[in-house]
Amino acid sequence: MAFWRRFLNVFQPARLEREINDELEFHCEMRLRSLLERGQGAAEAEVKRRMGNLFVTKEEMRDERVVEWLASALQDLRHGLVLMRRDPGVSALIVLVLALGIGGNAAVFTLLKAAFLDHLPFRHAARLVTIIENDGWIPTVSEFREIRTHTRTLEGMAFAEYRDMQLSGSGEPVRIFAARVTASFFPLLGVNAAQGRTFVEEENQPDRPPVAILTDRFWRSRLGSDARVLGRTLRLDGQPAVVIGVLPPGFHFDYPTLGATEPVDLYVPCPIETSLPFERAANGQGVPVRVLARLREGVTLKQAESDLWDTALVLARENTSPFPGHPHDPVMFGFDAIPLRHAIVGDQRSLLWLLLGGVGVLLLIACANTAQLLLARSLRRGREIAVRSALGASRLRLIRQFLLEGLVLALSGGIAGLLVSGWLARVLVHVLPTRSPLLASAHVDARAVGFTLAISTISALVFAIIPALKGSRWTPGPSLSARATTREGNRWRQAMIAVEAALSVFLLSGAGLVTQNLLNLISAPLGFNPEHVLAMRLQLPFGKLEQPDPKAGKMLQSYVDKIEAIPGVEAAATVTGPPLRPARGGGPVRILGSTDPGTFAWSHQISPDYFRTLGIPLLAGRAFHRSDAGPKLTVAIVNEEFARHFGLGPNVIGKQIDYSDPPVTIVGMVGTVRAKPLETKPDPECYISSLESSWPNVYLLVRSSRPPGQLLKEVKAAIASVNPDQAIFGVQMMNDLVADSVPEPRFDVDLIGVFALLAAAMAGAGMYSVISFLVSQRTGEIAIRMALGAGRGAIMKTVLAATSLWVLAGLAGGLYLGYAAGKTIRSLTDTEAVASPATYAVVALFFLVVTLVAVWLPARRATRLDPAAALRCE
Amino acid sequence: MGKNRKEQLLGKLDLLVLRTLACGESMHGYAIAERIEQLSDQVFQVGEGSLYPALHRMDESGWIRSEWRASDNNRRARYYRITAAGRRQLAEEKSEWSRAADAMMRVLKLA
Repeated sequence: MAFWRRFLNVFQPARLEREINDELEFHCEMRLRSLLERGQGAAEAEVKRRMGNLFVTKEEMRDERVVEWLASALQDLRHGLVLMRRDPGVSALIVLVLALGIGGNAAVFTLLKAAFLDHLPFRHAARLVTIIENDGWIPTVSEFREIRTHTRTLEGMAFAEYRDMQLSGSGEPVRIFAARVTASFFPLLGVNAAQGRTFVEEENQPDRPPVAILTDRFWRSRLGSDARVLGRTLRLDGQPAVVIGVLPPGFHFDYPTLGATEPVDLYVPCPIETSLPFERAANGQGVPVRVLARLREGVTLKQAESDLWDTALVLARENTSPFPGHPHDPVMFGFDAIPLRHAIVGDQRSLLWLLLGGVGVLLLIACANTAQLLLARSLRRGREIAVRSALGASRLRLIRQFLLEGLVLALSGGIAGLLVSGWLARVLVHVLPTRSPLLASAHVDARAVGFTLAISTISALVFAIIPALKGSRWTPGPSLSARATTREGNRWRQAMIAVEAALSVFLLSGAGLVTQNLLNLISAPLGFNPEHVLAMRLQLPFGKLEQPDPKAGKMLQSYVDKIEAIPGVEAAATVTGPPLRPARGGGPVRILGSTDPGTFAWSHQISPDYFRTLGIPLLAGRAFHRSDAGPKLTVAIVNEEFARHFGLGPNVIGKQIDYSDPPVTIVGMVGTVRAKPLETKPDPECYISSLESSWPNVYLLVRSSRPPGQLLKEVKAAIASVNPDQAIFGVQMMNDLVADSVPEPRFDVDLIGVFALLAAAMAGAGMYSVISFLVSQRTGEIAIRMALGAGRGAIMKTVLAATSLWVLAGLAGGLYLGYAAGKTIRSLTDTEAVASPATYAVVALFFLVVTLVAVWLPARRATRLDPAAALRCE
Repeated sequence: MGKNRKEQLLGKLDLLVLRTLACGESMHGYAIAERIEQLSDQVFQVGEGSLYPALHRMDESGWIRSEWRASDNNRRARYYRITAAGRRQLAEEKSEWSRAADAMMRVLKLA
């Protein structure tokens, strides 16, 4: 209570002052009156004598009434503010640099918080898991069914499967993005429909009349918030589907890391065939689905995993068919349960660490620069410090004063940083190479404010401690004389340049590494000709999507025929996965009669003119013909890498592979194309004829030198003449598809590049100012040497030697750090590249040039001065 | 007044003030100083320089309470009043003081 009053009094100095004055004034008046009554002469003088030093008395009374340390701290803070205003340029610079450093850290913190701390908007979110096969494949519907039957640790199991659908019926057919789910999907996430209802169990049975649930966004944007939407019929994939519900506005479950490449427009129930045989996702069979489940109350992740392991063992023992012709080791097949949050964050984890590393290093450099500026300022204040010490300020009090001044700067920077951090976080999320609903939910809250204040305080300690220790030391003689001890703290200055050089070299070499990676990726040969090829995607609005449909190939071929008839079209073809886009299938392949255990090969279903359309060279054998058609696979074409793997070359023609039953004959070999955007290593690939087997979801490629806009119109018309319900989407020139295929490496380069350039600019400026300051300190010495006959060259050499030692030490440290962190950066950015020595050389050169210029300019000035004048200046 | 002598007086000053207020009435600083001088037959002349800081310190310690009131001649003045804690403190200091005084007397008689 008493403390509280004293605490409040700190902030009411005027009131306290008035009370003390009133009390003492009253006393003096009473005394004066009584003296006068007694007739004493010189009464006023007597009053003054008795009162003694009024100033000291008041000071003592005030000290009794306030929390002393707080009051003096406030005084120091006020002093700090006054100093800030005294040289506004330097203060503004410091605050700006700190705002950048602290704001960057605060922004990354809100992202980390969104990724790892903030509540996921689902019921029992901490107990939700997603299940994958232990080799990373996501399970099939049949695997989901088996796990649901066998599990003893999981409950509420559900799945989601994302796909394109056509919405037709009014105007040009459009393609929408849909999720097919089980009825348990919404209850598992704890979501109710805002209007209508969610799915019921029976709706997952095959051959039920189609129904759909709309997302709020779709309902508003496409259906104009139609109030009578329930019961309305939408034409989905050529079939009427009844709208039974609309989801609440806050509900989103469309994380790209969980397979939803785009925001979901609507949900439909997934028909689950109960009679389908057991299929393994790793074999490219069945429909892979994103399986979700909740751990039962009290069950740990470990228990759930061992339970899943048991299930996998049972499945592997009971079903040998998913592993035809392969020696199967049941231990190699299992399931993993991954906490939902973990799965949603996915590989964005490494991006977050990269960001954190970048902003962390920037803040360190900002602190080093601030320390330099403060050190210079604190040494300029030698006289003030000497006077204060002489008046009784203890060293501790002086140190505290410096630290508090640092705190004022850091908090100003921190508050400015906090103001921009929300905006910075939004910008970062916006420029991310992939959509991230999780990070987009990042926001500044109490925890972010707390974090910002904490790092502001810590940085204040980091950058103010050396200036405080150095500045608070004084020696009576020189400090009070006009000549300040400017040599103080030189070693710290030099050590700090070394640190700054090291940190920025570290970032620069990281930037060099990711740039090298990007260059490697975009300069690697493509293996095909992307010029003059128009690419688009389409999905046939019919067919059982679970299996390749023989009708699909014929339908696609009829589109292709119409398109090839357009004048100016050289060739057209369909493919399930063009170069640099993910393949739709793949699996282990063996050559019959060979001792080779086989290899994993991607497979693509192509129409006959595919190789001609993309300009992929046919190296041996033949391409597919129209006659390679039928209900069973009979022929395949492999790439050069495939043949190389089996040590065959062109002799691969005529060999049989166990791709299906009966075996398939290899009829051709083509050049290897870049399959994956992020790797240059070639993969074995197989092509099969889409007239024998085709998914209904394909890319359509058209080679023509006609202008794309006009061509697209005619292609659309050609397709519509066959099937007016067909929507096409994702229209792009093949060139652009190639250019857009490396967004992550490009982003890494931009991101680390920006960090590195900022760091280099800050460190360069810091180094320049410090080195030139150190050299100009030696003006007098240089003048004497010149007077004694030293040559300009010799002086330059001496001066240079003193500073470049530190810069070189910093460079060496930075290069070592960059080298040591190379492995981390490679793993964080999925890079295989190694930065070339040239990168390091450029980085080192930059700092050496900065050093030379910083030494040379002041040294030249010093050597040109008249020695007498220079000495007088000292 | 030298630093040392002032500190010597501190304990005594507290005791004198508390004793003066122990009668129960509220008094302002000037009255307290006058009363102490009167009672001690002008032996203790209380310096205002030490009285007021001491009053404020004891106020913060909770031995006395202060409030602003109109004085006899209708001026605003700060009045001090002893608290229960103050009385306990007084009793303690009084016994300590008399023990010290007794001891001093014994030593002096012996001499």
